Amino acid sequence: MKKFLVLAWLTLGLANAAEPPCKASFYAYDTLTAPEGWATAVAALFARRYPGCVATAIPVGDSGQLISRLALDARAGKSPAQLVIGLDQQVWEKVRQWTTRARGIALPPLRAEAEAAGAGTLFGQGFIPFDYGVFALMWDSTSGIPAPAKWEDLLAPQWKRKLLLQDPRASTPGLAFVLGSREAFGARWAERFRSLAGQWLTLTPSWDQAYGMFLKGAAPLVWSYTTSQAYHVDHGKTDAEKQRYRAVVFEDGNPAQIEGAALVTAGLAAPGARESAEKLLKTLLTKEAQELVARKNWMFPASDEVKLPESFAGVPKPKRVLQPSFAARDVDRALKEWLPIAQRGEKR
Amino acid sequence: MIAALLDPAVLNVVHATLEQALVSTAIAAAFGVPLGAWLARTAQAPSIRGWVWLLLSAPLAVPSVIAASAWTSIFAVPAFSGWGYSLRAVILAHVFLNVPLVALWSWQAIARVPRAEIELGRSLGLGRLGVWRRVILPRAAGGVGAAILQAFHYCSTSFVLVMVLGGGPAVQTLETAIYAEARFGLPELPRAMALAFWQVAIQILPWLALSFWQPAQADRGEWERRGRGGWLALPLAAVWLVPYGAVIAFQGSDSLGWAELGASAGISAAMALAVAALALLWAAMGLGVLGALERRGAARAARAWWIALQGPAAVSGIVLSLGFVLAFPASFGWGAPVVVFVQSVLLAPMALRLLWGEFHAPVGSLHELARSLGASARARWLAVEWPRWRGPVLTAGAWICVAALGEVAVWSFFQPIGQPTLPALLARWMAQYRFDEAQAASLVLLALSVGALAAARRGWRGAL
Repeated sequence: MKKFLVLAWLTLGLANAAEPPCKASFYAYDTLTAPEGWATAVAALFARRYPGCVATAIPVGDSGQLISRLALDARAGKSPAQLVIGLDQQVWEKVRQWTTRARGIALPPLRAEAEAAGAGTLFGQGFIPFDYGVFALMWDSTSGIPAPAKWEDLLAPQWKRKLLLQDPRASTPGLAFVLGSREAFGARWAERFRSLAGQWLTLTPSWDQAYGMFLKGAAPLVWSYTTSQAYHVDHGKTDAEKQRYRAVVFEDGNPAQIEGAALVTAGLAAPGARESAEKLLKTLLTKEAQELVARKNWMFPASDEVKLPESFAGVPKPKRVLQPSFAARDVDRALKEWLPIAQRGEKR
Repeated sequence: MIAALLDPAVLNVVHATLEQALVSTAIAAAFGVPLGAWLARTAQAPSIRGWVWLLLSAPLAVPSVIAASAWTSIFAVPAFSGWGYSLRAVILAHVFLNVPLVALWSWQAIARVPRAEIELGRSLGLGRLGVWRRVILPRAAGGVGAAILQAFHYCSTSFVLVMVLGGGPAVQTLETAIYAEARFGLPELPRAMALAFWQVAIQILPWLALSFWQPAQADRGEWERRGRGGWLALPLAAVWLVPYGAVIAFQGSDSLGWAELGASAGISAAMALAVAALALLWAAMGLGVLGALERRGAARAARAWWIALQGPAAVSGIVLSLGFVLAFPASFGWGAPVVVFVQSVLLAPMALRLLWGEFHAPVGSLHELARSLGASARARWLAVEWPRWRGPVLTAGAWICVAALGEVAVWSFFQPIGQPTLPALLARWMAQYRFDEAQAASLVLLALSVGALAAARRGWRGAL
């Protein structure tokens, strides 16, 4: 009996030694990995779903920093992360070359807007979409200024210096505004944007700067997400507070941001690393994880199978989802055309 | 590379940087120098003088993220909205930041003009204006010039205020242009290097001049103060703080993350202390070499060494970070230590300038006395050196802490992983719609900075 126990212990020990540890580290931007962030909750879910497995977040500032980090890892040929969580279309175009397509991942049925924004196409390239948001103007309904109905309205005198936008060179929403306006205005974009340049109050370096100014009452319109409305409905203390800030979708369409994850090629060399990372990717798309997206990240879950919180019920649906190209050369061209207009436009 | 240097787009940014910095500095000098002269000439009770010093120093302790937030609150008021998000807004913010600095340094420089020289001028028949023109201004020119150059340095390397208050690309400076280059991935090398070259070129000439103007000795003020109206000094010093009152209007928050706030405050304080310790170490090493050169009588080498030590002051946080990343690409992943290191190099010249006066203070006789009493080297150091160095070291350390607490340019370049510093937590909370809590983080950051300033004040006592 004693010999049998020793043998069993040795066998188990050897088996454990042979099996690689189930660990997955992931890069993500700072708000996802905050204690109350969505990725932190998903890491806990991963540990429950796969007992013995551990997911560790490596917070990396913001999405811009994700690119630098992945570029350096690719140059070094090694990475502490097996996954990156929190890519969007713009970042994906730059980092795609340093990622590996995951195996055995099945997408749940996607919500219509995610599909319209190209989530399925991105999935085909190795990008695992987990949430999305529709960019829109948020409007302070107590401002006495009416809400615009279409892109062209933004040029009218009543909205002069009433818009808070972001600098497209530093902010993803800012870039989406420029690319979205190019889609909406078409061939007349340069001429229209020259007029638009007198309409914004400022171009902030980040979304939060613009939104903070909006809440201080600096201007009645800010470029944000339709889901910002859900946040105010959820957090408003009175009915008036809940109803004050409304999302405005344009008749001629709004651009959307899709957020996703991917495997980091430079981090997959260790035995079992890829399998662990793929398990974490699958976890992102589970119903439990998708249900957490709305109130943890204030975005829409990619999956159509989950119920949204009540505060999302009144969020307006886009009339049309604009699908500008985020390819590096198209973004560069757009910014090169935008910069001189923006520089001249503000000298007023 | 030459093509990148002369690229019209790059030259436009150089022009805009100079325009903004020169106008801001000129206005700050126009208000600051007369205020400093008036303070030096006016009789004030010592306690009032202490408060005036604190009030004039306080704007320098307001972290730029908080200053920017305060100004955005002001520009949200309809009466002031026309000023916002333009070159005027940037200049206004820079003027409010730099008038107190110019006034403070000018005050110190003018107050240090020896009374005997003024009396001599008077006895030779110089009138009031003549004394100012022939005696006071030539003696104080170095200090006043240093103040104006320091203001120019702050204005031309300003980062957050330009980004937030400038309104976008129309008010683009070299700092913000370099940041935009490196924002989404590693920068395009020739253009980033051209921008960095021009930024260093703009900074280096004033700093060379400043290095030559360094006062040889920290004279103590002996000038009699006879002017009336000393009570006016308090409101005149306080007025420059008024804009930042907007940030103190914290309404409270139901879900304030105290634990996170405390942890971030701890990280910020620890990093600031580490920066101060390292910067003081670099300064001590620099002064050690300088002392050795002077003892050998190598005056030219000593002067060259002093100028070389000032070098990092001619470089902004963004430029130094960019250089570091270009030299060591992996430094993006080195986290907080690289931020501490780069900030310490950046702030070491500040430590040097604050320790300079004491470095040249004559203490030879005290050493001789201690030696004649049989004191060991350690005892001599404890009895003679440490008591005189304690104040300046504390002052320099506190000022470096103040500067490091609010520094975001280096931090935003490297964005180290792990527990965020207070400015990082502030940014995170704002990105999560937690604006009220971000306001609380601003207040804690402000409190830490003012606390460090209060420590600096202890070291300052008796300097005027």
